[in-house]
Amino acid sequence: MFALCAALLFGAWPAFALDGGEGREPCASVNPLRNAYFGDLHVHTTFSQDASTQGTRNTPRDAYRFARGEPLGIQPYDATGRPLRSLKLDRPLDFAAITDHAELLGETEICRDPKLPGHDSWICAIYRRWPRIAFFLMNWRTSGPRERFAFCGPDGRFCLEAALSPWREIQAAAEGAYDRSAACRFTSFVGYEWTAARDLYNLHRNVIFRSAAVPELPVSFYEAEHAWQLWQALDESCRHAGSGCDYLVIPHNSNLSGGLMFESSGPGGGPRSAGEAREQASNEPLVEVMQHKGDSECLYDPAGSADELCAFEKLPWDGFTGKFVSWLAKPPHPRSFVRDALEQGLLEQQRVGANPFQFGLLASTDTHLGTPGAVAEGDFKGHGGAGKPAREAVPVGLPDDLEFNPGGLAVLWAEENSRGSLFAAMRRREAYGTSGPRITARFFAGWQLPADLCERNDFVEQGYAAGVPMGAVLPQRPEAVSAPRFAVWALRDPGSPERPGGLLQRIQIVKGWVEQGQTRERIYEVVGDPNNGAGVDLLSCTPIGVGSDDLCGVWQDPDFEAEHPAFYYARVIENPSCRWSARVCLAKGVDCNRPETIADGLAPCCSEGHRPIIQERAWTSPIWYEPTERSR
Amino acid sequence: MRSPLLHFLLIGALLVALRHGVSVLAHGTVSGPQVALAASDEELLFAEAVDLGLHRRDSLVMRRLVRDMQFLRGPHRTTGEGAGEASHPEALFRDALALGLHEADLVVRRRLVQKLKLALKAAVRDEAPSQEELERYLDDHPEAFEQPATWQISQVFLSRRVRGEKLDASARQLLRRLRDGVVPPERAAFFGDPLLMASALPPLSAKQLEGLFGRAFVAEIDRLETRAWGGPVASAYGLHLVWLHAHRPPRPARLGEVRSAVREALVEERSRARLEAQLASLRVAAP
Repeated sequence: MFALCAALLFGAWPAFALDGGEGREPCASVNPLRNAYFGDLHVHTTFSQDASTQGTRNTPRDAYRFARGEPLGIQPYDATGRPLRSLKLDRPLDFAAITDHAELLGETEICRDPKLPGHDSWICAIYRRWPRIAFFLMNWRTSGPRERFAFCGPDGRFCLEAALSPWREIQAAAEGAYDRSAACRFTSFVGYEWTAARDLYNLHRNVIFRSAAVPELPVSFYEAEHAWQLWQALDESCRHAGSGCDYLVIPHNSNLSGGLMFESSGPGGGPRSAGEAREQASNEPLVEVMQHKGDSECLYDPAGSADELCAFEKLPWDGFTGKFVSWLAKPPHPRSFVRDALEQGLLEQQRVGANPFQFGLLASTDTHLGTPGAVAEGDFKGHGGAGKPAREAVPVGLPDDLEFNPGGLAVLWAEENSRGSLFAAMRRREAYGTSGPRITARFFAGWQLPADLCERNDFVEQGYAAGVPMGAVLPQRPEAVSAPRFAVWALRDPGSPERPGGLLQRIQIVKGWVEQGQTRERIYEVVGDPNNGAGVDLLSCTPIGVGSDDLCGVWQDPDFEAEHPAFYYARVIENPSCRWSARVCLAKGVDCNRPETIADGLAPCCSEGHRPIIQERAWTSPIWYEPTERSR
Repeated sequence: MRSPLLHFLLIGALLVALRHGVSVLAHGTVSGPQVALAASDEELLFAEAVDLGLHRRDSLVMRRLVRDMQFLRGPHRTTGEGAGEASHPEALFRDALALGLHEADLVVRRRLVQKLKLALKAAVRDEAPSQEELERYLDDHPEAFEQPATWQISQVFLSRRVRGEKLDASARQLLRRLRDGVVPPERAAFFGDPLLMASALPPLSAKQLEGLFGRAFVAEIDRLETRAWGGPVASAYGLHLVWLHAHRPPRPARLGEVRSAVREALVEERSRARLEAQLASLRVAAP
């Protein structure tokens, strides 16, 4: 026994290492004018408690295999472990990030955390000094002839090391999925979700790391209760760690934040300083505008917006509590929406000279099934988290609660499909989101963009040369120019024979500005026809009417005033199509005029809140106009 | 009978019994031994995790069990000025373990089983596969890492939106012109309509081309002759005249191209095998 202890005491204690270097082959295909890459930056696996309690067994590695186009089984599972449902993407994603909740990914050893009870116990003191001896002492109750340490290794280190943390597994899965060859077919990002809340309102954010250099442990809500504390802790453990680590933070589900996500106050509770505003914009350059749990672009409401398209995929409460406790349910808060935050950001800029809400837009799913990019309306298997459980059996009727939806996609304009290039696109906000379809959208603005840009073969070259792309700030206005010109071009989703892409109906430009201290907004129809008569035959979910394969428009703001700060973003709208719920109701033969056809779980098909027809869409990141002193 | 603790334990016992019953009912056609086997594997792993003391050192298990005890005893008795020594988190944690709450809490059970599996995987990772082992794995699973076929094309686009009913005729006419004039691909885009993608594309796989043009496009270009104008080929946006520069068939991957993926696949395979072996020994030793 003594010899064994001595051997363990003086033996090697190997480090657990991953290949964290960013060495890679240069991508064979590099496009200086940038390509559109489609991905999902919000994915949960079995390492998220709310996913695993719903029966999710898919690991990060499984999720990445799915993202790359492999079929994947999902719950429920039969007694032999065979999944009873499966899913496969029609087209693989270009990138993805696993973002499990940080609160379950962190340090697991009480003996290493001075804040935890037991840390000062004698056994922990021994553990910190002689870990291997401590392992034996901790397990002195063991008995029996069988091998006691098969799981933990002969000296127990694998049951003591932080290697038990799922965080290591997430990193390893990302490394295995990242294509470092010249083919550059797929990019994985290491990430996690910071699951913050206040008064039960959602303040969740995803943290995405630029490379394999990441903190030893993710900063969770346990360590940082406010967003500014999260950034501070990440600066310490990442940016200033000397490892080449970098990160950005993406808020989501502001629709469930009760107006708290885009607060007007700074860290100290009072008004933000310019530095604090710049810090926020720098750390949070993007917002997830749509996902399973609804759309957060804008609210169609007297207190919100008169824009009817804002009724798209709205959850009917101001916070998630409203879903579970009906008497606490309140209607959505107007300050919870991204367009309002963009407008508030202009006001802040006027007040302190910096805009805290100068963020770009993208979308993702928030899948809790471990199935990134599964956004097809025709094959929605459910959110896998807070909605209908599928742990024990396939859900009866609809696969999930009516208010959820299949989610959207993040799209990045980048030179190549590599971490560096995609992360840079996120940082400069050259990004957009779609509600699911693979719509391609370009958006440029400039003071001297050619008016005939849509007729030219060098649309993109001119866009960059004579203007700025989505996510950017217009340069200073030349004196001789009266108003900026905007160019937007969108291609419909090319689709597949099984799932044809929807035709485009129109492209709008949404303008928000500040005038005499008040925020204003207006929607401009740029190209296409909102009254093209397109519709859906609800008896078959067949689209009806004409639309466009692509739309291109050049537009100059007729209401531009040089002294008004403003933002502009493009919204590409498809023709009407059947929502996922309408497709399921149709497939199951529901006829709301014949109650006998409304089987178990299908009553929502005929509920007042059911909107069977939607218009899928894409939202570009905004382009900002900032008046100079000369303009005021 | 008024004790929340007793209610908790009774409700928990009822739920566990119901869960097992529902599980059996849901899998009514599966034979008894198969159902029992699956459930007992999780039980064996949980028991092993407890025997190894993992439940005593996991900070997340501690937080959850402390919270469970606070709920059972009532917040007025466990927090604030009225709380005594017995309400210290360490005491609550100790009491929770003594009561066996770690065995009743589904989240704790799942967490500990997960930890054990991660420990085993960490051990497998520590045995870093050698170059030879990686090469052998790649040789044994070529299909899993095969590099897909690629096509490198240049294309001249004719827009349905711009040309309308004249699209087909325009396409055939332009094709004749390109062939007759022997127009090289780098100068041909001038003759077509603008499209929001490059006229000269790098080598792309079928999936990548599908993403740009639609699936039917790929099937068509696969029939084209190389280094000649062909088409018209239909896409979601109109018609394309296509110059196929090169077509490369699928090929086996070189280890340097897929090293990380091969390593992860090998670790995954070994972890599964190691877990099954450990479960087999636990089953033998189980009472």
